Amino acid sequence: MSATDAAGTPADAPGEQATPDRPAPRRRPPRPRTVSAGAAVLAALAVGHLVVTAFPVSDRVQASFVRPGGVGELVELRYARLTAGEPTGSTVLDTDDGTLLATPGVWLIVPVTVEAVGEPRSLAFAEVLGGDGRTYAVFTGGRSSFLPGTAQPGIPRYATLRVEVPPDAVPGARLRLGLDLKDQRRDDVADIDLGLTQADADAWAGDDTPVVAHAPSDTPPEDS
Amino acid sequence: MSGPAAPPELRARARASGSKVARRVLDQPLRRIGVVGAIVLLATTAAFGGLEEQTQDGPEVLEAGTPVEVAPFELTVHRVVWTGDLPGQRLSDDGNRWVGVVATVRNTSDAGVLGVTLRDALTLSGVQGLVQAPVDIGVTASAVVVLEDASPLSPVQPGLTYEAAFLFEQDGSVAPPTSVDVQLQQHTWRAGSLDPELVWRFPTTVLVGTLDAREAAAGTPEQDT
Repeated sequence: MSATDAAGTPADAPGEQATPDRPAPRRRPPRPRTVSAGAAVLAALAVGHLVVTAFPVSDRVQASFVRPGGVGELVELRYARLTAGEPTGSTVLDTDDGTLLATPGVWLIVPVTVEAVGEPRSLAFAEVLGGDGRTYAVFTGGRSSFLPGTAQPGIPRYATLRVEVPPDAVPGARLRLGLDLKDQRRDDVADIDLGLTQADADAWAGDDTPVVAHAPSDTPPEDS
Repeated sequence: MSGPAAPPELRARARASGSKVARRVLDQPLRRIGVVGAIVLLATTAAFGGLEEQTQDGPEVLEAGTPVEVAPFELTVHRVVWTGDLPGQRLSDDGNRWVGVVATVRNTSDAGVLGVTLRDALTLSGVQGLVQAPVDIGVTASAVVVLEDASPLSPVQPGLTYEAAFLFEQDGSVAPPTSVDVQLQQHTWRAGSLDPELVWRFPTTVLVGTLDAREAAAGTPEQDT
């Protein structure tokens, strides 16, 4: 490619090429109309940036539909009806398989009843928003876990959530439950006030009686 | 002295265009264009901190018993021990042994972190016969367990202080180590180039230390003080 080719044909004069016997016409600098168009584009970009910055619409559009509830109350979600039972706690957890787990904090145990709506559902998202402002992760495995398994429509599923938290996180703690482990955007999420107080935290922190986290089942646990 | 860098045809077109800027630029020699380009490039990087003094030349020295911040954790490495028998843990071969790094772990962020992130936070190097294959940050632990109940430490909840052991399985035919190089990695909270989810990523080695290793006195890391 020659240097002339590399320079290209002027975009504002298609087909107008310099030839050896005819000198290239003298091109004028950008006229006011061109400058105005460029300024209009820049202004539009600036206004768009201002709107996006001042009104974070995307966050609101993608936000979850939070369904509040309390202990013992039925929380209606798009995909399931949930009921959180009375929380219990201790410094020792009985995992219902012969294993005892200690914790540097306290174990918080919440029985949850899941009734699937429309089709079988496997709830995978859970977290506890501590009263201390921190978020306590709960996964489908590990020390802090919630694994209810698949709930069939019309058949209540009884599961237990277990999570270790510092005693300071107990008063005012809230439980959030949802369908998808990684993505709760634009979907229902239960937000359940566990009704816990400092007295609960103190009692659990001084108790080493193992608290049982029952394995999930379609039949209610015997001691509930 | 060298002449203009641009070919005559291009310079003629610049003159014909009537643009003074284009004509002056194309009339400059290549050396001058290069110098000006380098200055512009440096000025651009300076705007993003490119000329700031480097605060750290390389990994700092890790010392046993000293708490260090390696986001999202605070780790205090206490000791390195090895044993052929650890209750609750299964070796891939009965003749192998565990090399354990005993440490205090605290999640300093405001949310629970998966154990896989903790596993990347402390790695070994320079130890012969480790079963786990090395990666770019060293050899990661086969498991990280809570000393008190031998359960896998995951998730690591904020605000709690765990006494834990990073367990590395070593081939039993190789002599047990007398010292090991321990590396601590710091993570960064950010989205990936393809995955917009914010998570702890990109473990980077920030502390390295050589610690003595010895046989666990009672066969378990927590009983060896």
